[in-house]
Amino acid sequence: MIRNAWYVAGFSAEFQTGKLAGQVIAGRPMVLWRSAAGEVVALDARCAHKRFPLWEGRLLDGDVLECAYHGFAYATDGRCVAIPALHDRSDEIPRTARQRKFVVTEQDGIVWLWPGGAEPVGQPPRTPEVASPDWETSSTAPMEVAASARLLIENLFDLTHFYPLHAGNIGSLADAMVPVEIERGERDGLPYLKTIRRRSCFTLPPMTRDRFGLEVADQVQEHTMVGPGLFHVVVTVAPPGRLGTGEDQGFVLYQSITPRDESHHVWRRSTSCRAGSRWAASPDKSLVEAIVAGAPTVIEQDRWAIEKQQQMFAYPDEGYREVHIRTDGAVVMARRILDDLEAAEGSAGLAQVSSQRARRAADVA
Amino acid sequence: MTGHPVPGHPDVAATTAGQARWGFCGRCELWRLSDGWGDPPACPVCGTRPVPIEHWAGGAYRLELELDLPPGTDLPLLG
Repeated sequence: MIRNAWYVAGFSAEFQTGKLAGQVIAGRPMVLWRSAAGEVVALDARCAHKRFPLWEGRLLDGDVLECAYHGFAYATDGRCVAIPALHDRSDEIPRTARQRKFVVTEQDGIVWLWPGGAEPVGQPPRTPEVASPDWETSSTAPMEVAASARLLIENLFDLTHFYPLHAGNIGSLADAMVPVEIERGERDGLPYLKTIRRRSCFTLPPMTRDRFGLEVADQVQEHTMVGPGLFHVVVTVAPPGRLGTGEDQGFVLYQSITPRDESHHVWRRSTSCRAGSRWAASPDKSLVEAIVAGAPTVIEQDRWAIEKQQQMFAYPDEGYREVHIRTDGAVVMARRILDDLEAAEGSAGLAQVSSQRARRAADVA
Repeated sequence: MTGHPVPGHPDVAATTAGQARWGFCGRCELWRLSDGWGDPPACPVCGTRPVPIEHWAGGAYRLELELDLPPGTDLPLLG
């Protein structure tokens, strides 16, 4: 599991002043709340005294978090500021009674957290559409998925599972042969991987036609993995020959993938369309409503698939070897990027990595 | 596009500076990450021409993959 990375702890609206929330992010239990000053605070949730979960505690005046077991109380910087058993002898509070404070950055309507031991690298990715008045945004509630975060990333890069998994909702024979460009590189010191699908003058399937009011269109669709915690999708549609001329329609979709542990993660989605964009088939509704209307079925199908996959990892690899075909290129590349990030963290993740590497040894010359 | 760096092109230096590229060997049935493809590129294990193989352009590695998707496939608009 990769810990030295920026992960989404939640959309800003999920954090209300004075309300405690417990989360496990990349194997780290933490208690989070928005302080009276507006800062989102994240502390190790295991009380330094007896490991009791601090998310069961309560907030006192002055943003002091009191453990529900023995009453150890912590300030927003993690320092223990009161121990009831010491009565008023506060000078006897051990210096080591301190909760680790995690680095949190809130920007563009998203609360990001760095659970790793290393110093944070750069800033979290920008998601300007999410909190911009120029865009209408619809965000999902956090979805708990009983599968490795890697399996969702692979699913999102996998262009060949639409049949049969999504047949009947986002499937049709007419759109089968679309070349995919794969691009990989580095931005701000972090590896990224992107797939790009360009289509010219094609007949839109019914669902897309209803959304955009076009029979025939040009389209560009980009999927980008921005570190292990964020997947960015941009879909742009315009009348033939009109892409980039101001007649563009489309949407931006951010999907955050926050690992709980090796076999669980939290999936969030935020879909944005230009403010004022209307649903062509129902102009009284916004385009973003049209985009998200069909999402739940697809989301549940993907969740079902990767949870079933995860269950099969319970069995030993003996006698099993995964087969890759040509169309698995982006998935194989994404795995390697994640393997390298994990290996770079040192011995903590090495056992897991070596098991995965053995499984995938054939991938690499 | 399954191209490889054009000899003499400035992008070649970045590609050939020990940087590994991804390519698909149809004979080995594997995606390989290797700095040993050579020019013209050939699988470092079996010598088969990889299709596709990455090339360096515009500050990133790129390749184009023709998909023979199964019937029933469509735009991953909700992907």
